[in-house]
Amino acid sequence: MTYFQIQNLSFRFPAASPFKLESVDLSIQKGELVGFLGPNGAGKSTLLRLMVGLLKPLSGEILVEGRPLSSVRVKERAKKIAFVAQSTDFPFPLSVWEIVEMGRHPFLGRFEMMSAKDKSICERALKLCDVWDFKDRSFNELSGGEKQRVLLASALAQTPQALLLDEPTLSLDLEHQLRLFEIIHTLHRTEGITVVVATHELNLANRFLDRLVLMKKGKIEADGKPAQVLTSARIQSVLNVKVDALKDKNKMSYFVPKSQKAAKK
Amino acid sequence: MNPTRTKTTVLLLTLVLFLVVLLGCPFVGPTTISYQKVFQSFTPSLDNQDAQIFFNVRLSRVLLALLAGAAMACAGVIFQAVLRNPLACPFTLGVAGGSSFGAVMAILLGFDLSLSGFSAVTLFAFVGALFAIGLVYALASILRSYAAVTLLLAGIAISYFFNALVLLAYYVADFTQAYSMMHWLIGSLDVIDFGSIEKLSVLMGIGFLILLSFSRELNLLSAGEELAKAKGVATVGVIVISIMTASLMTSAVVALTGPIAFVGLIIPHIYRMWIGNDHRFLLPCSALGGGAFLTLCDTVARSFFGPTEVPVGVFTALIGVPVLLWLLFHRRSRG
Repeated sequence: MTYFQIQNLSFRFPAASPFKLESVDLSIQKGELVGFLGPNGAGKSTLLRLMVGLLKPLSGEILVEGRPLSSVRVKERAKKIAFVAQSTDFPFPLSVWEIVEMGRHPFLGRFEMMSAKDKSICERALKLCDVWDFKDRSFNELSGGEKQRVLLASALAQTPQALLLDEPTLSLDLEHQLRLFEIIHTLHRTEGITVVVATHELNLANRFLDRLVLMKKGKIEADGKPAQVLTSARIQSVLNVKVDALKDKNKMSYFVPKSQKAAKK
Repeated sequence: MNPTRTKTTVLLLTLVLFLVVLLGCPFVGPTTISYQKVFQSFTPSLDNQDAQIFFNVRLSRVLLALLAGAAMACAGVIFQAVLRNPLACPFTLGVAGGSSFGAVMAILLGFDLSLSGFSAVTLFAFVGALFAIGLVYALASILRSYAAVTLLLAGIAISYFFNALVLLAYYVADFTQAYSMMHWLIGSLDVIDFGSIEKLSVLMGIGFLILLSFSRELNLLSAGEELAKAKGVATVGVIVISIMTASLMTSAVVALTGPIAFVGLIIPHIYRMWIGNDHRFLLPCSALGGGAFLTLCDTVARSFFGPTEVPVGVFTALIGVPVLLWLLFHRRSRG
């Protein structure tokens, strides 16, 4: 069953910026685990934000479970689709627990308090993202990677059908990069969540994701299984870097960038 | 200690302070009154001078101070959260400028009308405040942007514009008019009748409930507009309704008291440092604490400088700033 159906979608920013997305067509099945790959400025984050409804398309349409996204009310949308952006400091810092609690907002009425069930959902999200131990600390005091995990926990507290992540591994240490992809993988496996992740991590994407969409300059260059999409030649043409593809004993490819200097020789 | 318990404890402490101020401050003043005599039911109230002073002079003023302080502190919390700016206060979007202009014009033109118990100065100040906020909204909707930066810039521009007009009026006014203007501009509380208090408290009560019902949305908005949208907040609606409510509350209060400085800036920050930025607790704490603080300042201003009194706007800054600085240093030394 199709979860996201993107039809002939175009977008540009109002200011005189050269960036644009032009007639993008893409459909994502329910329960798929998809990665958006591409150089800076390829349009990965913009496409994600359009899919969450944070930006409005210039033309074309995004259907979520067959319904136009523009006709879904924000609160209803937040019950289905969660988004994790890159973390920034808050002008008025909240505690980790208060931030994760925010994930329950779409499910609560105006004066309604969190029920025991809401609290246990938050608790589970905190533990899953390994941030339970500092739930009472102020968000701004945390390291970049810890913040990122807190925002992921807050998104998971929305108990979403679809989880969209914008470069979630950016400031994570090696352990938590791996852990994040494992969490995504587990959620996908156990709860059938649809996951779309914009990332630069070729090797993690190759290992954990079902499908990769390679983007460049607002267009989709390639789309398919990781093994078909990630070839040395295509990586060179899209990402502009020469790579060596090494295979491990399970025939899984690992891409190692060659030094730019060496490449010129 | 468990953070939720800290927040609850602070809220209860503030409530106790509020009640102590409400019941205690009417007994403080240049004339000493006795507790027994005030509540003596067998003396006819017209002959009972102590009861007259307690109820008609001091209690009405204390109630006005409690309402005014509560409204300005609440509005401060809202403006800081929505504009995501710690320097924002209830006057950032032009309420003070507009109401001051209205008031000085009423004084300059010598209007001597009154409508349902409110003087010309009060009425003009209220209209002026609404006009200034209306201008800010008009600018924002013409620009099709309710982003924090747009509102801030529009508000500051309009404030400066009205301040210039106030200065012009002050410059052309004669000596007595200029004195009245100065007195109004510093901000001071006066005795008002219980009918007006009643109207004001209904307005404040409704406003406060509206704002409190937005407290989760305000947590999200203060963290960032994109985050708020992603978690299901209809951001433009929340921004417009909460700013409109806070502005109306401030306008009503300022029309009666003049632009009393610092309460709306400092009280929210004192509580932010104490209990953090969870608006579900921050709003009620600031309301109660702001009311108590303004009443205490006013009690000092009217009691210890007899036979005259000092405008309360002087004391809110003189007392509020050291408290804020002490908290700032205290927090730094704690790490």
